[in-house]
Amino acid sequence: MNAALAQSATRAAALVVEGIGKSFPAGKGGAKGALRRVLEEIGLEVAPGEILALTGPSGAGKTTLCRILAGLERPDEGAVRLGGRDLAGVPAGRRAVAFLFESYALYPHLTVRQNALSPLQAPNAVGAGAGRLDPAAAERRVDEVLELLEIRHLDARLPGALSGGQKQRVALARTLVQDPALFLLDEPISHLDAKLRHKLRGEIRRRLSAQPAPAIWSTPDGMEALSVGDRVAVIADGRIEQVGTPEQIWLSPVSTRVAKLLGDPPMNLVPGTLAQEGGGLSFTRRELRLALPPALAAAARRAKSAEVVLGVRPDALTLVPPDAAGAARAEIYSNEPFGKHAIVTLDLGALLVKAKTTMSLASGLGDLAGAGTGEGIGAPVGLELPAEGLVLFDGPTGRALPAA
Amino acid sequence: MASAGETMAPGGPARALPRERFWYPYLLIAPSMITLTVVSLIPFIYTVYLSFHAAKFGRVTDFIGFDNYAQLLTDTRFWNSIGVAATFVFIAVPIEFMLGLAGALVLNQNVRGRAVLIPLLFMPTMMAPIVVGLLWKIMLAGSWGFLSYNVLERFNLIEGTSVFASPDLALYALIFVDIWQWTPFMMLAFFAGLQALPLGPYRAAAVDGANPLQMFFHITLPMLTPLLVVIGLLRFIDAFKVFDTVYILTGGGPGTSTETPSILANKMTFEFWNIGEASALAVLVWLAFFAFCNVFYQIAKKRLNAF
Repeated sequence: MNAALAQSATRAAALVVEGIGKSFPAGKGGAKGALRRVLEEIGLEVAPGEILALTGPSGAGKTTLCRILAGLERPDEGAVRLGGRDLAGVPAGRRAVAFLFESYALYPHLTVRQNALSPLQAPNAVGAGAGRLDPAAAERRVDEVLELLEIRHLDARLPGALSGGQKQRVALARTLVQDPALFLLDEPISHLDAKLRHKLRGEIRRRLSAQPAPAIWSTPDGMEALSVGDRVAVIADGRIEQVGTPEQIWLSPVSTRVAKLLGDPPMNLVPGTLAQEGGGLSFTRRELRLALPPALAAAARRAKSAEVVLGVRPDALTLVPPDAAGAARAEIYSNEPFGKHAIVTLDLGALLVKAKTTMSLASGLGDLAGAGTGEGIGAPVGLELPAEGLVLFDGPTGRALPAA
Repeated sequence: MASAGETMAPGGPARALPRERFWYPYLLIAPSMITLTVVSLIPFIYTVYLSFHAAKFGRVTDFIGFDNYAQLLTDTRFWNSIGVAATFVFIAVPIEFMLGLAGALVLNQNVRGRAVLIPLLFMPTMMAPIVVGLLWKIMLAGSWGFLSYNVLERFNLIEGTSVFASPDLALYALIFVDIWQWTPFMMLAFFAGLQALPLGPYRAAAVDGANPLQMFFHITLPMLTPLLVVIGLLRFIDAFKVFDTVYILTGGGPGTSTETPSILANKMTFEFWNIGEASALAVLVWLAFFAFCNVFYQIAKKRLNAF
């Protein structure tokens, strides 16, 4: 390992990605020589010690971006800089990157322990930042990480004898033992069971935050991204849609695409029209009608089209009796009781809307919907929109209003 | 048998099956079992039977116990044939193995025109062994052989004689032909194995900074070992039994310098008409391989994760 990178591994350095673009051959079905654009003008900055969560639907280009950052793929254009140094000519093995592969990429002929130990014994070992860890220290570190990931008892097994979740934890161990210049975690906990996922999410975040290296954590799960990232980058169709803190992403998604990706269940998107009403603006969709609060109305005045989409989080919706004043009439389409809260899907006339409510059939919802209707399916209820926590999107483009 | 077990599994072995269901699996494997019995098992048992009898000039007479074996084991010609086969195998197979692996690694580097190259490379292995023999006879036969005349004689490497007529060189000429014939097979088998290896470990190693040589020794070789062992073993057994090309090119000569056990057994049967001793030879070779393969299998299973 050369001296410059050895230093950069210890002296924390920011990752800067500028204008990365990448195309692949279109493959089957496409014309010969045709290209498929997978990444377009990707620009990101990750500060030392910062975790950037990269989220987007599968096929959005997350893995390709990680592989370009690691040096396994060459970008068609754009630059990757680590601590001000352009990595264009630097091969993967000299970038001091700890890469967790979505497909695990374990060495099949090595045991769990040997796999976890492998990066510390590698030619360009970045174990101790400035050089190689001595064997005893490396073993201790591996022990500690295997313990953390609850796979120490498996340490003599070969990967072939492990389940998917166990393999993923070995891949995690192999990544976490390192002190690299950059962490790249491609869907690191997607194959773990829910309980372990919750435990490890926090543990891994804690470990990464303690490291001086910038980290990129890719995941198709928007909620996971919001929970692990210091900042979150949303990527769709090879473009960065939005970069921001979890609060920014959650409260003001810049497009319907971002809105659809985040939340459990995700934000309801209700298409409708803007109408002049008295002194202000109102949003209408059939009998659903909402006088826009001043802030939103100001934004709505800048809309180019009267066609807009109103975004409203499921937990902001209130269920009221069907005949309540100002409420839109809806029918209960389905009801998922979670115990603590229920997710009720409502048929709003050719549009399904999900509401997250603390009411259950036993308390409140049953009275609303009228007794004796079984699950309450088909029963009429009223739906009230809140005055806050709403987001307006331009109908034709799907961009948030104001487009600031 | 396995299919019988599966058929019975749902109801459990305790419950009696209808008669036709019991026989059904046996019916399915009957054609192959009957064929194997007729062409393989019965001749083999008959060979063992013959090896314990005086059987000369086409007449099977008295039971003579191990006399055929005793005679064989004291026959220098038998030990010579083992030596010839051992030299043949231990030179030819390692060279085929190395060349095959090297060729496979080159093919695996996305060589241009690979789709055309592979069928061409595979031609020697696809040829009937008799044709291979005749081909090389024409190539190397003394002053009228294509290669021997144009290369060996012109540059005074060998004069006035065929390599197949030289007691010192004939065996090496046969080894050369075997390498020519079987290297492509090794190469394609290894190439197929390389193509099936997962890419993940190579990417991980690239990130860890491994160079091509380290990737080969620490990733490719360990992952390919099971295949290397199986192909190597098959080729080893097959080379030991070599018959057809030797039969065509030298017939075991000059003298006994290229007489492999297969050639010797053939001569014993059809030239000396001593079928009893030839059978004993066949049984001994079989026993040796049976023992060897079992030991090899156990070692490979434990040490190399093969099989």
